[in-house]
Amino acid sequence: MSGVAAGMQPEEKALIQRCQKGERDAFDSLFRQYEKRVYNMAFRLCNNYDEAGDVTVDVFLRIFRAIGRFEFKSSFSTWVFRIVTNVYLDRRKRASNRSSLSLEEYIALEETSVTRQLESADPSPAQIAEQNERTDALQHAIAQLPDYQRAMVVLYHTEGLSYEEIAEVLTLPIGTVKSRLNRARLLLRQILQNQQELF
Amino acid sequence: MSCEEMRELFSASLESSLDAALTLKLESHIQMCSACRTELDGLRLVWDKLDVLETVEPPKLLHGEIMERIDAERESVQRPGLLVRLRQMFPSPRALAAAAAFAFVLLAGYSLHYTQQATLGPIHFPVVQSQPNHFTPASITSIKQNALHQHLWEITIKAADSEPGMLSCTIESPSAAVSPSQVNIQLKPGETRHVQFYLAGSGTVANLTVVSRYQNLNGENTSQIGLSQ
Ligand SMILES: [Zn+2]
Repeated sequence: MSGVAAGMQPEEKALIQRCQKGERDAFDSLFRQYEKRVYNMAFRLCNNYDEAGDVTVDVFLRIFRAIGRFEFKSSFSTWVFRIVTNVYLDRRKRASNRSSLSLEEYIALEETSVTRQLESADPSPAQIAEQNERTDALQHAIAQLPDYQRAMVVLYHTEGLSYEEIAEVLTLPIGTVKSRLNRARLLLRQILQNQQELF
Repeated sequence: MSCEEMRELFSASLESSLDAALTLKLESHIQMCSACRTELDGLRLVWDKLDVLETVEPPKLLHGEIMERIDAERESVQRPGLLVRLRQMFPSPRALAAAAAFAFVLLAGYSLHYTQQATLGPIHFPVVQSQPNHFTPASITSIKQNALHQHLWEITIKAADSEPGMLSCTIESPSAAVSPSQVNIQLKPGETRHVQFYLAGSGTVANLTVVSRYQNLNGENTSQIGLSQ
């Protein structure tokens, strides 16, 4: 969105331009500014500290390789979030051997599989206790969402992106983002209710 | 409207972005339907919880690890420039000019709606404004002249492993001296492809115009890469 890019801080723009010339110091400062946000998003997506670290490193390598092609048409953070999302989804697709699927097929497939999972398997109390030890209930529930819904929930609720920005990050129509996010929130509530009786 | 349709309105309702007519419909449904009422209350609770998720601290060593990988990557790309390597491969200026013309066709193929005119003579090489090569989505790994047919050239192109998706590239060359005049290729991450071109005449291509498109999943599509001295 050009509106967002137009609002970019001049300092940030200058820093990115120095990165585009390949200045190491500039990468060092730029990465320091984004590491915490990238790591947090990665952690919310992966639900695992080690994997979040791996994703974060991959993301910055990809930024390093691609920054020459950043054209200031979107805000830099939107661009970074797109890379985080891509790195994460690539890993998931590779892990589940679904790399040949289109986006729509992928979303459809993961939604049917999660529904089946929810219908068939209530976790045992021991499993729940174990989960509670690892992480809090909400984080665990987020981790059970299908990948795309999870990415949307994290972008919206923990990174504070607007629907427009998420649509841009995921290259999906805004109506799709809104309806999938609504579905994701309802699913989250269902997961929490099934597992924790919290609500 | 069914319960399911009502539930599609829940998020918009909690954000107060529903229009008046739908708000009215939803409210009257909620009054009658306890299941949806419970669901909406539950959703409100989830939403509140989501908005106060705590942030986590990245490990202290993470920044160092990232910069280490960046340094390794920078080192691996600080090799001689393409033109230097081409000169080593093609000692004769004519052969180099021909090779450079093809390299130019291909390299320019990675920019979006990119139009460039290059005049190639026996010793004029196309100098295309270029970003550092390690940012490019693909690179030329070799340019070979066919041993039996001196007009046939093969260019090997490799997509970067880091590319998130397919690279689509259309190379159009209106110049009569180059055939085919248009090549479409798609590269997967890390994929290597060989593209053959036929260069007519003496190997001199004048006023070569290349219009090309390049696209990947990242959407940020424009990269200008090319030969530089
Ligand atoms: Zn109802």
